[in-house]
Amino acid sequence: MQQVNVPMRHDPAPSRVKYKLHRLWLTPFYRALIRTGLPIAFILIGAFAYLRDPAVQQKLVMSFNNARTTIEQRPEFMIQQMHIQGVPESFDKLVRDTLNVNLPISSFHLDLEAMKARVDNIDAVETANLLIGSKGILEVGVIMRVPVLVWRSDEGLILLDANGQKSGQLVSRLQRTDLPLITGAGVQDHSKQALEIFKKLSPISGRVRGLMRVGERRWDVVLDRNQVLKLPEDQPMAALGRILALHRAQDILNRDITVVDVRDGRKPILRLSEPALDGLKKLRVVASEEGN
Amino acid sequence: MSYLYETQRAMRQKRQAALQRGLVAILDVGTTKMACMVLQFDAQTGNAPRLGAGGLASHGSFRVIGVATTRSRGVRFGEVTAMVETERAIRTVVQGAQKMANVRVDHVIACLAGAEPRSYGVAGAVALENGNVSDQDIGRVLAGCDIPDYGTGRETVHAMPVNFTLDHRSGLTDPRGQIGNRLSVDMHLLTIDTQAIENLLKCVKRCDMELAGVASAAYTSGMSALVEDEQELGAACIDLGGGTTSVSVFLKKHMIYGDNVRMGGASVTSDISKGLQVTYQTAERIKTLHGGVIATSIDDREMIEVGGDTGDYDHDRRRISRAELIGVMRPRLEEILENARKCLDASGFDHLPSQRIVLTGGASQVPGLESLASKILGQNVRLGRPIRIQGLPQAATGPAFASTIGLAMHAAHPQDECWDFDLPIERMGGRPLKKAMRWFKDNW
Repeated sequence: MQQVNVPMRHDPAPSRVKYKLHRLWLTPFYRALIRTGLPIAFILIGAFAYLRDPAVQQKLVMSFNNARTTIEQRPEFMIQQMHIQGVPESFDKLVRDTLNVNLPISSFHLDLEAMKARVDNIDAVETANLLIGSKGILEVGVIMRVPVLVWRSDEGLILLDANGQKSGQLVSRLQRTDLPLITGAGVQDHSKQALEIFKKLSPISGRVRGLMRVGERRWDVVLDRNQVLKLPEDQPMAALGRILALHRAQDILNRDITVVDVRDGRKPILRLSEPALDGLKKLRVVASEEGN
Repeated sequence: MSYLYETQRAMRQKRQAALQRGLVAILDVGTTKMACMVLQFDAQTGNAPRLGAGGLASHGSFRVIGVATTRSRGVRFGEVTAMVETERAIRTVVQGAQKMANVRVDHVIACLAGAEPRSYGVAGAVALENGNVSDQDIGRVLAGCDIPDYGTGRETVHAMPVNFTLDHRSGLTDPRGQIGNRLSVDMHLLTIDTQAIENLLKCVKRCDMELAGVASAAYTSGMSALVEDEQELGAACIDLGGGTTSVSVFLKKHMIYGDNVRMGGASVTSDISKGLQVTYQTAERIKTLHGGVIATSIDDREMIEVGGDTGDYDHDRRRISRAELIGVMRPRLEEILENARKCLDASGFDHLPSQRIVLTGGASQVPGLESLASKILGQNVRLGRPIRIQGLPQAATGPAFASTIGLAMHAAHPQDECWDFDLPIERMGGRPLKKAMRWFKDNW
C-alpha cells in the first residue's frame, strides 16, 4: 500500500555504497575481521609504536626490576639468620663458610638445592637438610658421619665411618685413641669387615695395635710385640676364630711367636722369634746328643 | 528448444548452488509493493522419489528468517519502467530482509506479475522403443512437443508436463516403468516478455545478486492461495494486485492457464483520485479505510472527510458520502472482474470438474468484493489467504502476500519443468564428450 498523506521526505533506499558495505558486514569473514581483527590490529600497532621508544623500554625494564626488588626484599622473604643444627661447635664455621651466604638475603636468591649439594660434599657430613623457616631463619640440619675407624693412609690419619666414607682428618693418633686403627690401601670398601674383625678380637683387645690391608685383598692383624696374624682372603672370620681357639687352648699368642699364618686353611703355620728359634735349635741339639 | 534448456538450466544450477548454501532470497516485484523474504533451508529430509528433477525436487522444510516490504517504485503493470528507481526499491527491500535475517544472500528468485503472460497447451507423442517407459522416454516426449511459434521477444518461464497419456490411458502423473507402446504428454507453456525479464535481471545484477529463477506471479499466487483439493479438482486463482490482476487456472495440481488483466488496486485508487478530485495519497487512504463495493442505505449518511491542503477552505473541508465512494470504486472493480471472467472463458474454465474461484491479492480486501465477484464470476467464489509458512511474521500473512509466499513454496518445492529432464542424445547438439558421457550413463 502506498503511504498516505506523508510528503516524500527522504529516500528510504540505501545508497549503493551503503548497500554494499552492509552486505560486506553480513559476510562472516569480513565480519570477524572487522569485529576482532581490526581492534586487535589497532591495539598491536599502538603497543608497538609505544614500545619502540628506547626510553620507554628502559623505563619498563626499570619499573619491572624495581617491582621485583621490592617484592624480593619484603621482610617476609628476607633471611636474617642461619641456624645450623647437628654439628659440633668447631664444625659450625666450616658449614657457614661452605654455604657462603651473606645475610640478610632474600630467599628468592637462595638456591637451596645447590647449597644442599655443597654441604653434602663436606666429608664429615652424611646428609644435610636446608629449610627456609618462619621469621626469616634458614634452618640447616646436618647429620654428621660417625667415625668408627682411624685409617692411616698416605694422606695422613683419616677418620672413616661404618660405611667406609671419609668423615674427617686427624693430626695425631692421640686425638682419637678410642677408635681402632687400620692401614693399607683400599680399605674403604672393606671397613665393615674390619669392624667385624675388631669385634671378634675383643678377647684380646688390649693387645691389638691395628689391622693392615695387604695387597688390597686380605687382612693382617698386628698385635703388640710385633706379632702378626695373617688372615686368608676368604673367610677371614673363621680363620680368626681358629686362632683365638688355639690361643684359648694353648695360649699361643703369649708365646714367643712373631707370625701366626692361617692362610692355608688346613694348618696354621707359626713363626718363632729369633731367640726362640735359637733356643729351639739348642734344645734339639741337646735332645739329639742325649739320644746318641 | 535447446536454447530454452540452456538458460533455464543455468538458472537451475544457480538455484541448486543457493540451496546447497541453504539460503535464498525471494523477491516479489509488484506494482505497488515490493517484498523480499530470506529463506533458510534445513538439511534435506524425506527425499521422496518424484518424477523428474530428483534431488532438486524436494528440499525439505524451509523457514523464513527475514522479511521486508517497501513501496514499489519504477514499476508499472508489474514491469520495470524506471530501472534506477526499481533498483533502489530492490536495494531497500533486500537490505531490510538481510538485516532481519542477519545473513547475506547472493541468490534471488523473482516473480513477475506483469509482462503479458501467455499460456499455451502443447502436446507431444513418441513411440516407446522397448515397451515400457524409461527416463529417456520422458525426456524424448517432452523434447518432442511441437512448440508453438510464440514470437521472438518472448521467453518461456514455465513449461510443465501436466498430463501423460500411455496408449489409451490418460491422467498419469508418473508413467515411468509402465508398459505401453505410445507415450504422449500435455505440457503447459507460459511465456512472458523477454525485455521484462532482462530488465529485472539487470536490476538484480546491479544489486550484486544473481537471479536464480523466475516465476510468474499468476502461478505462485495460485500455489499459495489454493488449497490442495482445489488445485487437484480444478480452480481459478484471481490475484487482485496493485497494477495487474493475475488469473491462473489449476487442474491436477498443475497450472494449466495463466493470464493477467492490466488493472488492479492502483487503478481503483486513481479512479477515486480523479473522480473525487483528491490527491493520490488521500484517495489511497479513503479507499483502504472506507472503501467498499456494495452500497447500503446507511452509506448515504456516513460522511467521509476528504481533507486537503490547498488552502481553499471549501475544497479542503469537503465531505463525501461513502455511497459516492462506492459509486466510484464499484465500476472499476466490476471491470476488473469482468476482464478476469473473459480470461477464464478463454481458458475453458467452464469445462473443469470443479469451478472454484479464489480471490486473493491486496485488492481482494475491499469489503463486499466477494458478493460482487459471485455476481460476475459465479457462485463458487471465496476469498483466499495464503497458507502459513514457517517463520513468517504476522504482518506478511495477508492476501497481498499471496504471490510472495507462493514463490517461497515454489523455491522450496519446485514442480517439474521440462528442462528438469535430460534431453535425448540426438537433440543434445554438438558436444561429443558430453554425448559420450550420457551414452555411458544411460546404458550402464
